[in-house]
Amino acid sequence: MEENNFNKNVSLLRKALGESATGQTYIETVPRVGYRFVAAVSEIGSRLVAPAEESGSAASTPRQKIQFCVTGDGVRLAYSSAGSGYPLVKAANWLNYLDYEWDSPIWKHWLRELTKNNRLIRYDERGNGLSQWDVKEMSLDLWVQDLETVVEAAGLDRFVLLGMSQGGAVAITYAIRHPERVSHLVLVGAFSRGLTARGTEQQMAGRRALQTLVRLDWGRNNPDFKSMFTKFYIPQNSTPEQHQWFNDLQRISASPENAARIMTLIDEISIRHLLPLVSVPTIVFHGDRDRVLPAEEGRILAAEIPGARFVPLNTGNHILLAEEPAWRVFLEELGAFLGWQNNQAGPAV
Amino acid sequence: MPPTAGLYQFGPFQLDPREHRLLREGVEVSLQLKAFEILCLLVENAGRLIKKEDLLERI
Repeated sequence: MEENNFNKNVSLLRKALGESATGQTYIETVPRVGYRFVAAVSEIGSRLVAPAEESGSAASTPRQKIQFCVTGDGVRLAYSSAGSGYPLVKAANWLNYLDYEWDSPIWKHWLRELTKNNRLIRYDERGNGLSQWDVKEMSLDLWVQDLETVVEAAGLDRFVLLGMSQGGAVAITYAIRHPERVSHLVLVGAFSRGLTARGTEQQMAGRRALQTLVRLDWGRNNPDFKSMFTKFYIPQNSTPEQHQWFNDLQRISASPENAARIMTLIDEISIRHLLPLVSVPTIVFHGDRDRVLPAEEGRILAAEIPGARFVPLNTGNHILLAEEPAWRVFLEELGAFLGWQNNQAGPAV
Repeated sequence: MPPTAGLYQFGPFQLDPREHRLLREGVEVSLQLKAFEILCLLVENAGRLIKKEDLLERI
């Protein structure tokens, strides 16, 4: 092989391995002599398999079953069910994609842990993911109706309800309307006041500018713009790979127009006055340095929902990552709240 | 297992020299044939310095 051609191939190889993106060196160049592969290499079995199929992990990562249902106003929603045990329903949050999330380093650990003791039901809300994108109406009320539709379609009587981010407002509203259905309410990085209700004029101006950029740029593969979002959501100890997945998740989950519409609705959420009406056992988790939703919003929830427990998490990430200590704290506290040691029997209320 | 029959794991990657496949966390990574051959030679000789002239000769 020609030397130039060879150098070009080595450079392609380094790129494919993500050396500059991840900072991990696999191939060492010894100047004027040659090359050495410096990463630890181990020999494995006789067939390449995806990690989910490897022995040991198959049992802990069940398959998800994706189905569709239709809301009262005729919108087709995708929902999924995985695992077995007492049902745990996760309200939709800022941009979901049932299929894509399943193996993503952003959500994989959530899905694995939440299916260990429970049957986990998730869905993509109207306008994003595998659900219908072309929708006339979107509102907090319709998001709650989306959740109601999924609960009916999945045939659930009583369950744990998990709300993250704006999914928290949906979950709180649902729990007030259907207290007999919700045995436990779990809120993570949630809020009752959107930016319109809590923000300064300067913050609002910034937000309007951001919405314009979303409308213009969402689909245009502008890496700076997308990584800016990602750095808000998972700023702490996240890997380039996690950034890439989060960037991609946003790009494929919603059209620019829908993303901007959802963003506007999130800002307009204002349900603080409803908090005293929550009557189900509630636990509130919030990162103490959350850059998307300030920790004060979590404290308001816990203070104004009667009897709620508050668990501050030592993190700057809006979505907890598998490697951080706060993730372990979250699981321990959640397990204690849901009585995971008595799994299958359903939680004692 | 003789080296040529082996499958290799390094970091998040799995390499199958015979099938010409490279996976990163289970996801196929596309790589041109020559770059793939260089990778196989380096991995099969991991930790050893390989002279550039030897690589040029063998690829």
